[in-house]
Amino acid sequence: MRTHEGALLRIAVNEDRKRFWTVCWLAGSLAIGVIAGGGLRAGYERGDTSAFPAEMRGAVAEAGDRMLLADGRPAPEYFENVQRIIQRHFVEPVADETPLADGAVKGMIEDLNTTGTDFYKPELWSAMGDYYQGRAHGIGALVQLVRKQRGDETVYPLVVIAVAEGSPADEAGIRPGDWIEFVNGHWVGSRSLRPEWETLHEQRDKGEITQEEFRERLEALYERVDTMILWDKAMHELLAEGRGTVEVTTLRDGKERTHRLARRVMSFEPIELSGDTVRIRTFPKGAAERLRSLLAGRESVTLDVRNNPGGAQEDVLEALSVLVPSQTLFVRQRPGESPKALKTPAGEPPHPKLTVIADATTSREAEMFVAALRAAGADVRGEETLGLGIQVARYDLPSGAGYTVTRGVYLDPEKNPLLRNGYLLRPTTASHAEEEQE
Amino acid sequence: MKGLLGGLAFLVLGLVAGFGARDIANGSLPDLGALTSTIFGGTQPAGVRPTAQFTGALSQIEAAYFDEVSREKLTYAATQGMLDALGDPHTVFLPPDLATRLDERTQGRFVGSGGIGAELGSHELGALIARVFRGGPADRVGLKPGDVIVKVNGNAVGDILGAVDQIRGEEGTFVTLDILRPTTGETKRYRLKREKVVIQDVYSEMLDGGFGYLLLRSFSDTIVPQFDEELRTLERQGLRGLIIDVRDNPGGLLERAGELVGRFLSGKLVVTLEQRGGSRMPFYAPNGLAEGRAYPIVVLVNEGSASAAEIFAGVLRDHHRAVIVGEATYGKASVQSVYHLPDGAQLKVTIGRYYLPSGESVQRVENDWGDVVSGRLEPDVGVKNPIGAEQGNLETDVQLQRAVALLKERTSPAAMR
Repeated sequence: MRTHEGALLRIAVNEDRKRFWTVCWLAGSLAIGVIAGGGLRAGYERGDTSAFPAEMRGAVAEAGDRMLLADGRPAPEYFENVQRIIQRHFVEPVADETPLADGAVKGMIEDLNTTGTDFYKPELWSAMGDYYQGRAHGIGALVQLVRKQRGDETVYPLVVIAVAEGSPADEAGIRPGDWIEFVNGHWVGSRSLRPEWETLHEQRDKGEITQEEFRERLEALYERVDTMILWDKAMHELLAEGRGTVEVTTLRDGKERTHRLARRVMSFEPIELSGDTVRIRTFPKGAAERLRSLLAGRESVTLDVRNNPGGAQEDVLEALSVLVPSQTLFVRQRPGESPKALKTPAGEPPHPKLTVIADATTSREAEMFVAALRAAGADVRGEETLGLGIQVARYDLPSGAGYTVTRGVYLDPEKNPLLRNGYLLRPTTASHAEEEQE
Repeated sequence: MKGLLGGLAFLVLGLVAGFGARDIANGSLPDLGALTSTIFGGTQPAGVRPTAQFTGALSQIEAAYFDEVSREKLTYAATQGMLDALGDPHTVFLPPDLATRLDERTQGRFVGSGGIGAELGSHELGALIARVFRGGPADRVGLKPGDVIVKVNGNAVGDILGAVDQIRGEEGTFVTLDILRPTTGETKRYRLKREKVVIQDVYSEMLDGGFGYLLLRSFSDTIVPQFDEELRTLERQGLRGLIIDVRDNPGGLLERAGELVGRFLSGKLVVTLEQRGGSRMPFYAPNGLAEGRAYPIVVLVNEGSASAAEIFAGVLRDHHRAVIVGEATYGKASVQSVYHLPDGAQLKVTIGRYYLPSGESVQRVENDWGDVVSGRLEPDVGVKNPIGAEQGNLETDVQLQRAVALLKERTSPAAMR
């Protein structure tokens, strides 16, 4: 079993294990392993009960009181004291505390269990940052962990949101919108396997499959859970590893495709003019300057923002100022509160006549970009954008790691949310997480 | 001195070590030693200060995040996240609610400590009675393993944990169970008086050919007399070979496992416990209890065998007293200390590791693909059980069949010569 990070993914799967192997001791007994199979190990594990607690009350410290606030909730000293216990007593002396510091942030971020609120280790964080500036690592694609409504359940797919042209991913035919299912044969845990488990049993009970088939498929299901990796490991293999090959299985329209890709580092032009069309592949730093120089003297232009995963909000807003007068969009933040206005900066006339091409490969801040252009009267062609229009704040950590925090959802001037098509900020059924605590 | 201790600012309530707890308790309290030595010195670790980064990130999250956040919940999440970064699955933080519930479960402090004396598993129609504790209320009214509880006090059984909560209650009160016996298809209603139940850890059965089967469910405090009684029962029937089943045995108390080892090996080394800083503490089996037991032993293990169960199997193997049959074990070879925090949360920290007599550590180590790269106890004879195999049932339990075959070989006239 992997450690307990990425709990939300694990939980979805663990719930199955809980169902398979729940073995309870009754009657005032030890709850040694509510689970025999290893699923519920998140909170407590096996083999650690002793009837002989050695009393050490002599070491009770007065300052223990300062760990809590007046209302009994933990104060900052709480964390500090746990950290000191580790520093002094963990079996291996901790020489460098940076991983612990990053682990704390990772713990908080993952606890929020929200689309767009993610923690990234240094190599991954810098590789992702590089993509926006026109440098693609690994398979040359950008991937995002999302929560999505599918039927009654929430699923957690790793969605490809952009593919650099000419990259290994592009050459293999991987496209924005594909889901990553397996990396090097390891499942990425995108959903609960309970429905499949139930279907399997139904089929057996109805005699639609033989006992032999049933066993084989059940074994395969267990195997998938047992060899599962966490999403950040999968992303690391795809985006942050610069060399070697990686086998990736994608899912598109219910069909799995497996590719073996040679990873490399490649460069591309984030914003480029070809003929009368400006391709905007990402919004890098200085996107506005670049647009201004490409558009100088033009009365009309076509902007192609397909296969664009957005960029930092400030870079996108600045780019808008080059193209259109100030527009008013909205951001919905706290649930139940009225949306806050988001005014794009006033532009400098003359503004060219704009045609915009977007589709479902246009995502994140690029969707906000398209909404603003449409509000300003641009002729928007193509198809609906992805529906993942979330506003995020990005933070760097001293180790080189980084994290993003979801600030809200972008709304167009009519206050229609740009988060749609089943994408969710948080899972609708919190039951998985709740039950895990039981 | 008071001030210095104050600076520690935590409450050490107990060394509830995985095992070896009694050793430590009776011995030098190494944890306290480590504690005081670090007060008077110790080097400052390098790197970013975790507390500063934690408080900084907490403020940023509170300011930026689209919804209300709970400072309390985030503090707990940060604490667990920090521990996860150590890469040790047994160093864990239990927030107050979880810690309380676990205490209730493990120490039976919940309201109403009465039960019916059975072990439940899940079943499509309700709760399966997996085992019945000898002499308990369920046993006395004639409930059998395989029976299914379909209703508790007239209410349909939903999930198993819910059923457990309904079945438990104050000692001396009654619970009504509707029991389906799948072999006959009949459903009958039983009224059982809840009693304080002693967990039955040991089950025995005499198989054909004088081979005894001993099932050890866990190494709880009360296992030793049960073990002796069941073993004697088998021996009275002319035991020629013994199978000890610790599959899915999650462990328990090291000292109990050590005492049981003493039934077969006199005074031998059980484990060596290594603490931070390298101090090593040996732990021995008792003397004088192994006489007259020369019959061959097979120990059955699988991935659900952990800690004390792994020690038990590993020690018998290391001293050439048993052959291990089955699958690789889970791999837990560490000792935890439990720190009680003032809000009721608990912090379990790995403070030591133990080694088998051979010097081997069974501690499971995984790479970031989740592959086990070292550790676990590998069986001498690897046998996998197919899905659906019923443990302890000679017809479907391939591992048990193999164990019996091994005993037959070893007790054959040819082998005896």
